[in-house]
Amino acid sequence: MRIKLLLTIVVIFLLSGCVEKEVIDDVNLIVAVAYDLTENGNIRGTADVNTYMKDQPVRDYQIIGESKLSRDVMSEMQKKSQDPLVIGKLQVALFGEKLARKGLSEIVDTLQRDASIGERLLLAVTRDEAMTLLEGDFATVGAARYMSNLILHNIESRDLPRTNLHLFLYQHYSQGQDPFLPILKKNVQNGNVEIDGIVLMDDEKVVTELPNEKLLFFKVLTDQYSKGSHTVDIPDSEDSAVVKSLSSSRKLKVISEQPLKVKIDIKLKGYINEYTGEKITPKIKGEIIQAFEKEMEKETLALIEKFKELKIDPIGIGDDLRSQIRTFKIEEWRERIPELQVDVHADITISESGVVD
Amino acid sequence: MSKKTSENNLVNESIVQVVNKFKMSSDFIQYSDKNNNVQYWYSYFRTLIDTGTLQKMVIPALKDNNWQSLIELKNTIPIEEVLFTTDTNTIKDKLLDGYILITLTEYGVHCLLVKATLNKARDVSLPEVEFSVVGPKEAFVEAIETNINLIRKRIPDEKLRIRELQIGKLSKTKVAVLCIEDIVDEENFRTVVQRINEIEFDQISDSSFITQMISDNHNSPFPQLLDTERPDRVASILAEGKVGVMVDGSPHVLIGPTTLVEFFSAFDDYFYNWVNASFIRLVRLFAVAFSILVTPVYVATLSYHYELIPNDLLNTLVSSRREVPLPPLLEALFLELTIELLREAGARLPTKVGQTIGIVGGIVIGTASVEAGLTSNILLIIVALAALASFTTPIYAMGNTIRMLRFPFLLFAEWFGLLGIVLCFCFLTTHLLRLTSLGRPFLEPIYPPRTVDMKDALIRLPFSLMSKRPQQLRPKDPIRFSSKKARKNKDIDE
Amino acid sequence: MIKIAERFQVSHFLVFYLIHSLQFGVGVLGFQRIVSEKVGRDAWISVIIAGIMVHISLWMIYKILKNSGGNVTTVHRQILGKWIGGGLSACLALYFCLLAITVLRTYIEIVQVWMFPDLDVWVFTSVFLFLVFYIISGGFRVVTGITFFGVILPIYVLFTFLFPLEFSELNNLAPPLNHSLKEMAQSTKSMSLTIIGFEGLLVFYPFIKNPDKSKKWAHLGVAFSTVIYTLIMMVSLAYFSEEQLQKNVWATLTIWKIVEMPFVERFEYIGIANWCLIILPNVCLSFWCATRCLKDTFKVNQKIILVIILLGSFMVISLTQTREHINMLNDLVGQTGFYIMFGYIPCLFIINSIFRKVKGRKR
Repeated sequence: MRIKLLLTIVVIFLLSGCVEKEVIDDVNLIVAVAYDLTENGNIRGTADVNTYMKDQPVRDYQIIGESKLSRDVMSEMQKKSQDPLVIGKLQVALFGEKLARKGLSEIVDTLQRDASIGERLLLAVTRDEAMTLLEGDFATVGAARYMSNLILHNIESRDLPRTNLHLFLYQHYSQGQDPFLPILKKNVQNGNVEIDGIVLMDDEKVVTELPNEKLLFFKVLTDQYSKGSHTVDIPDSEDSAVVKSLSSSRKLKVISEQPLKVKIDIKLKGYINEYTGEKITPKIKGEIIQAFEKEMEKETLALIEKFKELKIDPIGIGDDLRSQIRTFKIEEWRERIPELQVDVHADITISESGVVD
Repeated sequence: MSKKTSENNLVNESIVQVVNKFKMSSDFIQYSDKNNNVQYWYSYFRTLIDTGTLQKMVIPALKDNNWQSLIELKNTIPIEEVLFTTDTNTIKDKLLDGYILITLTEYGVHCLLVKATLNKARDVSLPEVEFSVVGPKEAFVEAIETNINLIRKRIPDEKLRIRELQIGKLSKTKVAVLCIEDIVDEENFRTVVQRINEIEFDQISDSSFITQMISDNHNSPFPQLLDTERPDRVASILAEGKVGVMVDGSPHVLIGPTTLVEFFSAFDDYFYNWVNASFIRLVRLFAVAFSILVTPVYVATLSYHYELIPNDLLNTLVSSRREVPLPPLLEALFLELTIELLREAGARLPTKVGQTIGIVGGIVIGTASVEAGLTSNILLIIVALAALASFTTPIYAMGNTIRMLRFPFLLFAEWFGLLGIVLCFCFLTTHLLRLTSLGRPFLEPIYPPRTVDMKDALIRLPFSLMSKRPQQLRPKDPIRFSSKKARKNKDIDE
Repeated sequence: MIKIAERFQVSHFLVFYLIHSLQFGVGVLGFQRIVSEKVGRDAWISVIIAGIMVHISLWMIYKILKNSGGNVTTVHRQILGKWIGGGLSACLALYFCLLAITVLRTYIEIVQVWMFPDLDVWVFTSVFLFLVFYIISGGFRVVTGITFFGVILPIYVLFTFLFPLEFSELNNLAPPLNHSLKEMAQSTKSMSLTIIGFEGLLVFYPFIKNPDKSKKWAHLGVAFSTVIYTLIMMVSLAYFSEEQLQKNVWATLTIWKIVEMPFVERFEYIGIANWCLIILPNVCLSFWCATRCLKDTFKVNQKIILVIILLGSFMVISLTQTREHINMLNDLVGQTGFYIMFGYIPCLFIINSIFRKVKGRKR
C-alpha cells in the first residue's frame, strides 16, 4: 500500500514540470544597462550583454529597446535577443544627463521591485548619452566590469563617497537626506571612461553638480575618508605638501533648535608624503596643519552655503537633527534648510612625515 | 504434528541409515582392522580430518595392544577430545565436524568420537579495508577459533564473556557473542543473543548476512552494526561496553550498538596525536559532506541560481558549458554513472586487467569526453573529486551508502534547486533520526546531544580526558581509569 | 492523567530548542515594517516589551500545568467538564493547525516572490506535508530531533547580519522612547504573529523528563528569540531609513541582498532555502500539538487524525491564492494568538489557581 502511494507521487512529479529553469548557458546575462531620454520623451534602454567563449576574453554587445515606460524597455529588448535576457547579474546602471535632470524615481522603482537585482548595484549619471559609454573597447574585462571597478576603487581609496543602490534608496526615501550619484564621462581623446564629479539631487531630479576638486570636502562631510591624498599649499611660501592616507570622521552637534544652529566637528588624520621645500621642521608642520584646517573650513562652509541656497541636503543634516532633537518635525525640514546656521571646526593631525626629515 | 514425528524419526534413525547415507559420498572412508582379536571399525571424512593426527596419534593407539573395550581405548588415545556416545545426532554432527568414529562392530551404536579436525584456514595477515600505516597489522581470518584467540590475547581478563550459538539449518554456522561482563549493559547483550537465536535461514555465508537479519530497519541503506576486521579495534570497543558478534567463516566482526559518527572514525585516529587525529577526522567529515553535496549544488546553481556565482567565476563556468549539448542534470548523471561503471568494473576484473581499465577509463574517457564537448571540464573535476572524497570512509559499507545518496540529492536539486537540496537533506536527517541500532538512537551523540560523549565523536580529545565510558551505552561501570591519578598538577620547576 | 513512557520522553534541556523553534518562523522575515509603522525608531523597545510579556505567559503556563498530571486537555477536563473542556481543546487544536498552515503558506509565498515565480503551490506543499507526516509518525523524539537540527544548523545565518553594518547609521536608533504609550502598545500588539507558538508547551508538557528543571531552559529559549528579534530590528532600523523601511515588505530578505562573500554573491537565495529548515520544525510541532490535543481529548488514533488534518491543510493551502488571502490568514492567526496570550492563558491561570485552592480546601 505504502509503496503504491510512493510510486504514484513519484510519477506525478516526473510528469508535472516543476519550476522554470534558467540554465546558465541558455540565458543572456545583462551586466550593465544605460537609460537615456529620447527626443520624443521615450526612454531608451541599452543593455550590455556578455558572451563568454572558451580561452578568450569576455566580449560584450549591446541590445537597444525603447518604450514610454521603463518597465517595458526590458520586454522590448527581449524581442531582439536570441536567448532570454536575465537581469540578475546587473552590476552598473547608467542614466543619461537629460534623463537625470528630468527625474529618476520611476526607473529606480523598477530596479528596486525586481527581486533578482542585488543591492550592491552601482548607479551613475553620464555626460551626454549614457549609450555612448557602453560602446567602445574595454580591454579584456568588458564595460560593466571596467566601470564598476573604476567606481569601487575610487570609493575605497579616493574621493568618491560611498554609493550603491541601497544607499541611493536610503537617501531617496529618507526625508532627512538627499541622494547623490557619481558622474561618468568619456574622455574624447583616448576614449576611456572617467569620473567627472558627482551630481546632487533632490526628491526627484538632478539639481546641481560638484567638480572633482571639491569631492574631498564633500566626502569628509558625508562619509568617512579612509585613504587618498590632498595637496596643501602653504601660504607665504611657494612650497606645498602632499598629505596622504587621510582618515576622517565627522560629528554633528545641535546647539539650538530655534534658531536652528549646529556645530560640525571634522577630525582628519594623515601623514606627509611629499614636500617641495627643504626640511620639515615642527614649525613647518604646524603651518601645514593650519593651512589645511583653514582650507577645510572654508571649503566645507562654502559647500553648505550652496546646499542651503538650493534647498538640498546631501550630507544628511536632517537625519542628524532627527536623532538629536526629540520634537523635530522632519516633514518641515526641506523648507527650513535655508535657516540653518552651521559652525564648522576642523581638527587635523599629522602623524608622520615620511622616512626622511 | 508431522514435524514432531519426523523429529522422533530422526532420533530413532539408526546408525545403519546414518553410515549408509555417508557412504554415498566418496570421501567417506571406513576401515576395519583387527588388534589382538578385537575387531574395530574406524570411519571418517577423508577431506575433513588432519591426516597427521590420524597417522601419528590415532592409528598407533589403535594398534596398541592394551585395550579391549572402547573405554580403555579412550584412555590410551593421546588426544584431548574423545567422546563416548550412543546418540546418532552427535555421531552425525561430529563426523561432519572432522571427528573419527571408532566402533567395535560395523554399525555399532556405542562408539568413540576422536577429534582430528583439520584447521585449514588462512594465516593471520594484513587488513584489506582498514589498513593502517602505523599500528598493528593483524586482521581477522575465517576460522572462529583463531579470531577468538586474537581477542583473548588482547583482553586477558576473566570478565570477557563469550557465548557460542549455532544458526543456519544447512550451514550450522558457529556464532560467538562477546562482551565484557561488568561493563556491558545486559540489555544490549540480551537483545543481540535473542535476535541471533531468532534467525531462520539455511546458509549463513558471512557476518554481513547476520547484520542484515538482526538490524533494526531492513529498508535503510545505512548499516546499523559496525563491521571491522581489526582485532585491536574490537578489543578497544569491547572495553567501551559494546557487544561483538563473531561468525565462523567470516573475517569481519560485528559491533553494536553503534552510531553514525563511528562509521567515520578509523582506528588510525588513536595512533596519532589528538590534534592531528582531530584534524584528520574533520577532513573526513568534510569530505563526506562535500561528496554528497557538491554535484547537486553545481546542478542547482547552474540550472536555477546563476546569481549566486561570483562575477570572476562566471566566465569560467559559462565558457566551459558553451559546447555541451546536455542540460546540467544529464551531464552530471552521465559522469556519475561513468564513475560508478568504472568502480564496478574495476571491482569485478582480475587485478592485472583491472588496473589498465581503470587508467584507460579514468584518463582517456574523461579527457575525450571533455574534448568532444559532452561534458565540461569543471564538472569532471567536481565529480572526480566527489568520488575520491567518498572513498575516505573507513568502513566500506558506509562508503557505498554515501555514493548512493548523491542521486536523490541530484534529483531534488533538479526539481527545486537549492530548496530541493534542503528538502532532501531534511528527509535524510529524519531518516537518520528514526534509525536505531539495537534500540539505541543512531545519531548519538549529536542528537540526543550528549556533550560528554562528544569528546570522541567529531574530534578526538587526548586519552587523559577519556576517563569515562560513553554514556549512551549505559555501562555498568562508567569509569575507565582514575582521572585524578592520570593528571598531576605541578607548579613550575617543581 | 497522562503518563508517557520514558522511552518516548525527551530531556529537559531540549525544551530550549522546542520553545525557540516554535516562536522563530516566518514572522521574523517581515515584521520590521509592521512593528515600526506606529513607533518608528522605537520599534526595538516594543520587541523587548513583547518578549517580557511572553516570559510572563510562560511562567503562567508552567504554574497551570505543574500539578495537573497531564497537559492542557486534562486541565480543561478537570475545570470545565468533559464536553466544554473537550470543545475548548478542539479549538486549541484548530488554532495550532491554523498556525502551521499560515507559516507554510507564507513561506511558499516568499519562495514564489523571491525565488521561483512559477512554483506550483500544490507540488511543494505535497512534498513538504509528506515530509511532515514522515517526521511526526516517528514520534515526539524525532520531532524534537528535527527541532534541534533546525536551530543548530542555521545558526550561521545570524552572522550574515553583520554585513549590513557597513552601510548602517547607528544614529537612526536615537532618540529612544519618543512615542506615546498608546503607540507602543499598538506596536507591541502587532508583534503577536512573530512571538506566538510557545503555547505548544501546553500540549507537550508530559513529554518532558524533568519538567521542573526545564523551566530555566524554556525561559532561555524565549530570551534567545527575543534577543535575536531585537538585534535584527536594531540592524534594520540602522540599515534602512525610516521611510525606506516602510516600503520594504520583507526587510530581512532585503538586508540579505547586500551580503557578499568571496565565494558566493547573493545570499538571499541560500537564506531562503535555509529557512525551509527553520520552518519545518515549526510546522511539524504545530501539527503534532494539534493531533496530540485531539488524541488526548477524544482518544482517537493520532496517525489517522494526522492524515486527515494534513489532507485538509493541503486543500486550504492550495486554495489561498492571493496576497490578500494570505494577509487575512496572518491577521487572523495574529489576533487569535494575541487573545490567547493575553486573554485565555491568564484566565485559565486564575481559574486554575482558584480551582486548586478550592480542591485543596475540600480535602
